[in-house]
Amino acid sequence: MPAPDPAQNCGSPDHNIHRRRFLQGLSAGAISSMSFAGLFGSPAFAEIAKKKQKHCILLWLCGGPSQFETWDPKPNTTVGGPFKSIPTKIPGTHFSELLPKCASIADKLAVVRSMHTKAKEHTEGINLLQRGHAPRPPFTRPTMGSVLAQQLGQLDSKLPNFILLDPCPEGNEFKGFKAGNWAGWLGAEYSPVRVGGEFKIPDANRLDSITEDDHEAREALRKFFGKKYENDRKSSAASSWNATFERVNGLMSCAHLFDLERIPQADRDHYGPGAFGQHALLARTLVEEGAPFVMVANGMPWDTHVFNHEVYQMAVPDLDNIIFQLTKDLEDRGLLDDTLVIAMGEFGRTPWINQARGRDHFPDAWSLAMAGCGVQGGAVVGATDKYGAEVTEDPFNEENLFATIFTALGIDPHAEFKLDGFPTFHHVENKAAPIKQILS
Amino acid sequence: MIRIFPCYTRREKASSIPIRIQTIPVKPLLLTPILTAALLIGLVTVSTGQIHPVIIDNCTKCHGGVKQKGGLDLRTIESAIEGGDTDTSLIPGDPENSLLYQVIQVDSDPHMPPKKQLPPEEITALKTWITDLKITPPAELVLPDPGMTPTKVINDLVSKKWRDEHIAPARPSDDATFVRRIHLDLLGRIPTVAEAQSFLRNSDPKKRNLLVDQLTNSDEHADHLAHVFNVVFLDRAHLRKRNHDHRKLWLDYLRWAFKTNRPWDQIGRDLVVARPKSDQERGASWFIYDQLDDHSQIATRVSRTLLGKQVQCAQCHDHPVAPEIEQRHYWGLVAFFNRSLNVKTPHGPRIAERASGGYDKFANLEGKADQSQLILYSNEIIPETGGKQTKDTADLYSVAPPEQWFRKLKKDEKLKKDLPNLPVPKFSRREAFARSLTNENPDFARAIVNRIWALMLGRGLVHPVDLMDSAHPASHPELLAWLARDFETNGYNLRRLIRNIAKSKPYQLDSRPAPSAGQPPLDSYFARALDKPLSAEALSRSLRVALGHEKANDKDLRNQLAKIFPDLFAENFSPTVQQTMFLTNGPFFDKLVAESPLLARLQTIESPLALIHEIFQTILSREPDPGEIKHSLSFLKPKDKSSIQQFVWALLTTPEFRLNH
Repeated sequence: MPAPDPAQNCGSPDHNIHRRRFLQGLSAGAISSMSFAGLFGSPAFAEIAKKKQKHCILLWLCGGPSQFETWDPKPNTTVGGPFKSIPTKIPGTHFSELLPKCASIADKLAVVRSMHTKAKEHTEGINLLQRGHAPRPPFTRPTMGSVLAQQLGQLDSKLPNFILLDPCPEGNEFKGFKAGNWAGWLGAEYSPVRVGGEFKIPDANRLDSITEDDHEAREALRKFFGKKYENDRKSSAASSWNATFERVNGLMSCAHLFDLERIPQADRDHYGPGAFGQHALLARTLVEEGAPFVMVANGMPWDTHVFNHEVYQMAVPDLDNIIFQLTKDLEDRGLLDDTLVIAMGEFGRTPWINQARGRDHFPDAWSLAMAGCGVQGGAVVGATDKYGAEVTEDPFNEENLFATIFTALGIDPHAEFKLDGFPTFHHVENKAAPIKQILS
Repeated sequence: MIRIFPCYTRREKASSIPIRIQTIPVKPLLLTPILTAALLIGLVTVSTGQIHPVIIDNCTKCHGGVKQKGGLDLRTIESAIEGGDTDTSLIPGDPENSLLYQVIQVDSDPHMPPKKQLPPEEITALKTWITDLKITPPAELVLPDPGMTPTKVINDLVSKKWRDEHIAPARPSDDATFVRRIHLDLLGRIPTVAEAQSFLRNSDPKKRNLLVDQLTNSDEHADHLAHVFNVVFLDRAHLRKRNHDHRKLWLDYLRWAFKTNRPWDQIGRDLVVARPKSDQERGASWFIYDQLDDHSQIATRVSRTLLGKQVQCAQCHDHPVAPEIEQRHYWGLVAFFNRSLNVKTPHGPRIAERASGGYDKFANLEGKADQSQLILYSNEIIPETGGKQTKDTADLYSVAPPEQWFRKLKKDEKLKKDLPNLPVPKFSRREAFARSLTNENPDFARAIVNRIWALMLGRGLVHPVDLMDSAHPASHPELLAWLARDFETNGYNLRRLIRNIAKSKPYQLDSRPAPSAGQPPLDSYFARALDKPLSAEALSRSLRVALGHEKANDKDLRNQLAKIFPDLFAENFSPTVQQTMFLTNGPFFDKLVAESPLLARLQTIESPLALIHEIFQTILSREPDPGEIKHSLSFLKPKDKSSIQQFVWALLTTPEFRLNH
C-alpha cells in the first residue's frame, strides 16, 4: 500500500490492517465457497491433479460444414460436387482435395463419418451438439465447455476455465445461442469468458488510484451484497452478474495472454491472416498456459445454402491449415497427448445440391474429426452409402460423441451431476457408449 | 466470409411450449368434399396441434417454407390436409387413404423420401398418429367481458393460470420496493431520497395508484418513453452508425407525442406517412428518412417495431417455421415503401413519394418468379387507385414534383433532391399502409400491448417481443387478445394501458419467489416480479440521481454507457466481462464516483450508522438490514474518502442496483 494521502484519511496503520481484517472476516464466513484448501491431502486431490493436465480445443464450425468437401468425399457421383478426393497417409482412406495438409497427417487424426443426429435447424442443432442432449425443459443442460470447465478446471487458475474466442459477434442463430444460457444447471460461474471482436481485453489494468488491498476489499464487499441479493431472490440475473464480476481478477492477471501481438510474427504467419486462424493460434498459446477448454468460433460461415462450392473453396483450405498447424504445434510442444482437438459443427450438409448451388442442413449422415489426447490416430470410423445419404456402418449420435470426448479427457461419462432438488442427470444419459474405435 | 442468408429463425420444441393455441384460417381449396363440408359447418378454422416430428424431419426440406415441391406444404396439419397440386395428402383418421402415408411404404411408387426408406417404427408412429388425428373445433379464445377494467382482467387471467398450474405467487412488494420499481419503469431512474421518503410516509391507502397517475403525467415520463422508443425504432447498432444532425427533432417529436399521450395509431401514422402537418410532427419523418432510401430496411423495421414480426428471412423464401409469413409478404411490405425517396425541402428533410413504379420481381429458391403486390400479413391486397402506374406524370400528383423528375436524366445529371415543396401522389402507398394498421389488423395493437407489457413486467406475453409469429405462442393468449382489443376500442391510449398494468397485482408482486414455490416458477407465469436490467438510459439517470446530481439527464454519460450496456428488450440477460471490467478498472466510472457531489456530502457525516443509512437510502432506496449494517461498520470509516468511495462503488455494482426488481 502506498503512503496514504494525509488529506484523505487519518494515516494510521490501523487503517490498512482494518481492510485486511475485513477480508479475513469474510472468507471465514458465509462466502468462503471459493476455498479449496480442503482438497489437499485428500485422495480426491490426486485424481484432480491428474485431470488438470488435460485440455480441449473445440474448433466450432458453426452453420454445419459439408462432409463432402471435407472428410467423406463422394467423387464422381451426382452428389459429390466439383472437388476430387485425394489419398491420405492412411492407405485406402481419402479426404477431399481441399484438405491436402490434413491428408498428410491422417495418421494423427481420427475421423467419424457416421454421425447421425436428429436436429436439422440451427438453434436445435447447436443446442444438441453443444449440450449433448435434446432439451428437457425447464432444465437447461450445461454445454460441453461448461462441464469440462467444471471437471478439468482448477479453482485457483488464473486463466478462465472456459474461454470462448469469438471474433465475429454475428451468426444468426448462433448469435442467439451465444446470448443464452451456456452453463445451465452448473451455474453462471461455468459460463464462458468470451473474447471477441478485438484481440485485447480492455480495462484490464488496476487503476493507479486504488491499492491492491482496497481493490480486493471492495470486491469482497460487493460480493457479499451481491450474493445476498442472489440468494434471497433466487435470481438468475444476479447470479450471472456476480459470476461476471468473479472473472475480473483472474482476467486482470492474465489479460496479456490474450494479446496476439506478443506472439512472434512467424508463428502468426503459419496460421494465416484470417480471424479463425489467429484465434486458433491464440487457443494454442492459452492451452500452453494451462487453459483447460478453449472454444474457437467464427460466426456461422459454414451454412452454405448458396454457392456451396465457391464458399468451401475458400473456407476449407483455411481449416485444413489450421488443423494441420495446431496438431503439429501441440505435438512439437509435447502437448498433443493431453490436448483433445475437435473440429465439428452442428450437422452436415445435404447430398443433393439445391437450385442456388448450395447444400442444405443434413443431420442424417455427417462427419467430424478429432486429434490428440489419446485418440487413435488414423482411425476412420463408420461409413455412408454411395451418395452419402445414409449411414451404412456404425451410426453414432451426440450422446456417443459426448461419451467419447469425456472419456478421452479422463472424465467418467456416466457420472451423475450432483444437484440439489433436481432429477438425476448424468454427464451423458442413457449409458451411451463412447466410440471405442477411436479411443486407444 | 460471405453472409448469405439473413434468416433469423428459432424453432422451439413442442415440449418446451407450455400452451399452444394456434388458429390459422384454412383456405377451402382442394379439400375432399366431406372435409370441406365439415369445415364449412360453422368451422372456419381447425385447431392445429403440431404436425408429426417425423414429417418435420423428413419431408419439410422439400415440402416446407423454403421449397414446396408439387405445391405441397407439410409444415402444418391444415396445409397437409389442403394438399398439393394433385390432392389432399392427409385424411385424419384414415392413414390407408392418406397420400402422405401411401408414399412412404416400401415399394410405393412414387416413393418418399426419395432415395431413402423410413424405418418401420417411424412408419408405425405415423400410422398411429394419422389414425388418432381428429379435426376438432378451433380452440376459440374465450375473452372476458369487454366492459371490465384492464387491471381486473390482468389480475384474473394471470392468477387463473397460477391456480391452474398450482403455482404459488410471490407476496406483494413492500412500499420501498414499489417506489423504486415504479420510478425506474415510468421515469427510467431511481427515486431521490426525498421522493422515496415522501411516498413511504404517505398513509393514503390509494397512494400507489396516485403515484402511478402522477408519474405518468410528468415530463420525465414522456422523456423516458421517448428514449425507450428511440432505441426501439432505430436500435442501437443503427444509432451508432449515424451522425445525428436531425435527431433532436426526432426526440422532440417522441417527447411531444408521449407527453400529449398521442394515440398510438396516430404515432404509427406519423411514422409511416411521414408528411407532417404541424411543427411538432416534423421529427416523425426521421424514422424513414434515417434509413437512407433502403426500402428493404424500412420494411423490416416497420414490421418489427409496429407489427412485432421479424420478416428478413422471407426475402428469399417463406418463413421456415412460421408458415403465415410468406415471401410475398416481405415484398409486399417493401412495395409500400419503395416509391419513397429522401429529399430536402425548406422545412427540413422529408420523404417524397413517386406516383408510379415500384413493381419488384422476386424469385424463390427454386427460381419461381413472382410480382410484388401491396399485400398485408392478413393476405388482403390493397388495390392501387387508378391501377398499375408505370409512367410518372404530373397529373398523378396532388403536389407535383419539378419537371426534372419526369424526364430522362442526361448523362452525368443527378436528380435534384433540394425541392421547394414535398411532392405528394394522389394515391400514396404509404398512406394506404398507414390505413391498414388500424383496419382489422390485430398485429398492430398486439405488438404495442406486448411491448409495453414487456417494458413493465420484464418479459413479453409473447417472448421475445419482436417474434410474434405462430412459432412463438403467447403465454397468456386470452390476456393478450383482450388487452389488444381493449386498447383498440379505447382510442389506442398508451397512458391508460401503462397505468392499468402498473396498478395490477402481477406488476406489484415481490421479486422473491414464494417460499412454498421451491424452484422459482418459469418467468412466463409472472408469479413474481422479474429482474429487469436497467437500460443504458436508466442506468445513466440512476447513477446521476444516486451520485447526487441535480439533473438526471447527462448525454455524455448516457452515450458512454450505451456502448457498454446496449441491451433493451434482450431475450436473455447476458452480462459481459467488458462491462464488469469497465466498472472495476475503467477510469471513466472511477472518476464519475470520485468526483460526485454524493462523495463530498458523505464525507461530512460523522456518525457511522448515519453514514450507512444515508448510503443505502441514496443508492438502493431502502434501509440496510442488521447483517448489512454489521458488515458495513467493519468496512466504512466516516470522513475517510477512500473507504466511502469504495463502499459506494460496491453498492453501485451490486445486482440490486443493476437490476430493477
